[in-house]
Amino acid sequence: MLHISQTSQLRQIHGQEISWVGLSPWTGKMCYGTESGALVFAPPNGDIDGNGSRAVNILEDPINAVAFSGEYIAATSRNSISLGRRIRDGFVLSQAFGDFGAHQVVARPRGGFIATLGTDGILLINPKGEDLEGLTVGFEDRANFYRIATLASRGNAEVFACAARGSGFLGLSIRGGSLETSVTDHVRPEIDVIDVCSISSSDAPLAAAGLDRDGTIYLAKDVRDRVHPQSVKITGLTGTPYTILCLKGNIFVFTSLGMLIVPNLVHDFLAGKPIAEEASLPFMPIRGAEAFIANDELLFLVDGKVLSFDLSNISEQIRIYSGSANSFLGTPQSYASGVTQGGSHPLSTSASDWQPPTIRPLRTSYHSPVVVSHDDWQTAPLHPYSVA
Amino acid sequence: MSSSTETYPGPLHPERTDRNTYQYFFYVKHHNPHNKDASQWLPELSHDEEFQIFNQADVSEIVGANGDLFGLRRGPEEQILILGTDKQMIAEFPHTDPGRAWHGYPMWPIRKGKTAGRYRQPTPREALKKMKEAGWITENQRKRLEAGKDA
Repeated sequence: MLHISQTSQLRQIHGQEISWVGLSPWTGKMCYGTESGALVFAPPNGDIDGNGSRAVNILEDPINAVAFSGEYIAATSRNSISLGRRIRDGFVLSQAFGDFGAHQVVARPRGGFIATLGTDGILLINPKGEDLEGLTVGFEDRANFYRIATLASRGNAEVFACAARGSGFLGLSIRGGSLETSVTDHVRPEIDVIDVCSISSSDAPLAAAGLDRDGTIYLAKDVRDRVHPQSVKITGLTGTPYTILCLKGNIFVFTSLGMLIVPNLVHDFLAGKPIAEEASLPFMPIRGAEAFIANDELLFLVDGKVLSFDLSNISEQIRIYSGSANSFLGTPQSYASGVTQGGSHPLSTSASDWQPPTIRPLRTSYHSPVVVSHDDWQTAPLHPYSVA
Repeated sequence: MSSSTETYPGPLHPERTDRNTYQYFFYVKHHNPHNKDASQWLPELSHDEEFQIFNQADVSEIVGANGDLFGLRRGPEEQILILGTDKQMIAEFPHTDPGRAWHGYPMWPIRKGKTAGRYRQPTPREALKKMKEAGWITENQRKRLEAGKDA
């Protein structure tokens, strides 16, 4: 049995509540966004609870996403977007970009950023010399751009997967940095896609997964293809689905009540293997606000702190896993042991209450996906923006 | 002039709220799926259900700094139910002068650019805090809503 208590860590920032965490390519260490709108960079030789952390106020409310692109950084909240540029040992910050908020921002493969603006569309932020300029792209049918994942460059296009809520599971291609935008829309009645992630491999760089609010996972080998994604319906999933993540061929579904792990789902899907009709899956009962994967770590936001689990040997842990929930990563009780050492106890479900959900493939009746040309998009340029 | 003799751009609900005896009308522009300029209540949401969201906001005093009320629908097991056609989860009831009927509409989860002459703001932090204190939402749901996320 593997005990998570030996590998988990609780990280916190004194006087701050963490709202986002990810790896900073500038430092090679974790970077944290806070509820007060600050960015905190861990020092090169330590972590945030030690000396030497750098905090910069970049927004005025909880940071929901941060992205790095070369020398630039973008951070978003529900009220605003802010950009900055790296200089020597720190970075300068711009004023807020535009006068609206975003659900998320990610870096683009060829530089710059893309942010999701809900029913207002997407915001493209392009490098232009040493400056950045922005362009909003709306959708006349009011597609609801919620979450987005960067996939790869292909030919002269940058390709993304997008969760567009009732508007579908989208494959988004952007050519020439701006207006030549097209979308492959995978939609069906009652769909509500609330998150996406890359599941790319060397053979399938444009593969993506989506998560429906009803617990269905959508899998596409190339989001641009006009074919129906594979649908896998998870039965017995507890809590409201929030987030889908992928690491080393495994899918992680985070809900309001915990984290479900679907071992080898991506491996099997990309290899063309049949998906098991039913399986007993490991579920970590944990109540958190969000989950991330960065640097082979599974990271939960719990009570304003980050609870992390080392997944560097996830393949070995899954190999050991034999269908018994208590043999995967340790029992729920062992999670509790690890957490309480840090003074917090996010687990509300005891080991005796715990039931592994099952998974079964579900073939859905998709409408024929359609490719919408850029002529069908509404566009409205923003004022050019320059980094100070 | 009492509100019962005034005309409103939508039908009045026959009941008043339990705490402040506010009247409520169902603004037609927020009940028209063809109107892309205004947020829309879910068509399957009944007038009684919409009024109860308003009534609960009044009873629990989920009020913002400028007197607006805020409400939501709760499902079993701490779920927040969607109430708007664009997957909105929270409704705003803008402050209304005494004696006049109130109305409401689904709120956007993030700040939207200027449309129809004004910006659309998301739910104020103080209202989300009051929802948490009233036991309507969990602390994690409050954090997610404050980040513009589905909760």
